[in-house]
Amino acid sequence: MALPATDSFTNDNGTALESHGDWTINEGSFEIQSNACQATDSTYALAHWDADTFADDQYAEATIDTLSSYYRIGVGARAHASASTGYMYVGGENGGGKRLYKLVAGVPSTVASAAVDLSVSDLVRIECEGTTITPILNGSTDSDLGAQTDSSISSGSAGVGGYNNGSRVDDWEGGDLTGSSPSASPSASESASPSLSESVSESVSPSLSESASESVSPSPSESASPSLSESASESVSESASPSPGPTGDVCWGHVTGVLEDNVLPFNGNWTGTGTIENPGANDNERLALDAGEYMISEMVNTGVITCELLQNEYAVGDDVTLEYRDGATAAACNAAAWGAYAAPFESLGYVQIRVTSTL
Amino acid sequence: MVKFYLVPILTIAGVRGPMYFAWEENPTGIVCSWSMMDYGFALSALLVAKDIAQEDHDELVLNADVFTFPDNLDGPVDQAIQDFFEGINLPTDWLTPATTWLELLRQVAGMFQFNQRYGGIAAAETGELHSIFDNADLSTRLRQLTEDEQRWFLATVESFGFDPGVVDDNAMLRLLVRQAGDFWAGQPFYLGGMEF
Repeated sequence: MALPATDSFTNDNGTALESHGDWTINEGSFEIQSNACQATDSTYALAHWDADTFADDQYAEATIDTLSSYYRIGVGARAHASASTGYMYVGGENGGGKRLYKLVAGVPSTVASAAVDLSVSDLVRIECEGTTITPILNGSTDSDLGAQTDSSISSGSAGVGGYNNGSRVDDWEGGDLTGSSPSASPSASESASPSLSESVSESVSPSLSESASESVSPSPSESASPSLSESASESVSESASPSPGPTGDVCWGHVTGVLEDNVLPFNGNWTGTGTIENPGANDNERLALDAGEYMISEMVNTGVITCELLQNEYAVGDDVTLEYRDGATAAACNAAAWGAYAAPFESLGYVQIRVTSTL
Repeated sequence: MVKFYLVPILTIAGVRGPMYFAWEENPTGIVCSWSMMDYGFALSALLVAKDIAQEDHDELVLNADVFTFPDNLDGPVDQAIQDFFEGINLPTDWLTPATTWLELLRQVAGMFQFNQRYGGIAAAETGELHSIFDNADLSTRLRQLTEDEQRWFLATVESFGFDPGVVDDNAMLRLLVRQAGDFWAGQPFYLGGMEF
């Protein structure tokens, strides 16, 4: 069958969901009642649509048909073919509240809980996109529960979920997020503090390689550390818009004879796993990188302009990998992939630089 | 008020949830809107309580197995946290005086995500719950894990888009888990709708 899959649960009362067709039970049991679907055990229940293969990024939605006490009903996603594994967004009334459950190998975990009840005719939807699990209520992210990052389950099928028996859903639909019906507004998330979105790029590492200081390598790390002074310069910047870091030309870690607009220390402006030696000491400040280590610059508002990256290396025999990423906005730059720097490039507006040891 | 905590995980009647907070099998816990990010199937979770009452918070923080993040996440991390964090297998040797609470929070979340994926991969194969730290601690080297555990670890690495071939099996989990958390650089975390 073609996605999206749909089911209005039209069948005789008491028909088991798996007998109704195209459904597999992961946990508990479901049946048809009054042409709607309800869980039938006083426990956690999950079932999935088995007539189609779903993309990893998927959704399931359904309309709340009946609510019975605190017994919860709703939708499921990334339910495995046979294991009792998947995510569920369910709710009830009379204090049942709403829940986001994670079921792994038959063991339920309550991932999120809110005391606010559902109502009959509510449209409940769960979206799984990458590692973001989003409960959506009547077209907007359910702010009582909120979006959740969870990496436990990466694939599976859309379905229905429940806790205890009596509440029902109807008019179920499941499909892939790509090309599916519209999802909730992405603006529904909150920020833990005003500065949070500015800081997400500062603690990064590109690899899982071991550093010399942690291994049993006989080579002393000091002798293998390249040091460098980095400068990034462009000819001119016209932009006057606010940015997370400096605007225009920048030179870090060197002051004598510098012609760039901004002359800045590495200290406080670069982060990573490497070391800033002689922090803030003008020409004597430098980055030191042991094997596997890296350092990343603050973001620079370059404007749309040709950028050239220059560096000075002080240690003999070693080199660094010089990379950059750019974007039209600070957020786009944050989200962009790193690319090797080989020649001057046309910046999209914001630029960040990364240097990584080649050892 | 909104608060971030590290809390233990309880398992009651085969169901997991955060200690001290209310859920089906733990109805006497604190009633509020909360969301948790577990450390896979290790026994700790990062929890955000979005409307916890002051008196509940005051009572909660008296428990020695609860850690509370400060309201201002932009300040430097108190280095005195090390015993608590290391005690639940969260490495702290990477902290510097300049590390902020926000950077710590993100690093913790990244490490939790790695062990979540590890647990999911292991469960899909065995039907059982496993954590990286089932038979190990931060000083354990990757090569000291069982063959299955090493395979799940490398499968987890690969699932996040890394090349498992670059992982040094002589490295301690202390380093590898921290580096695994770095996968999230530049990507937001969501917990109860809070983005950080």
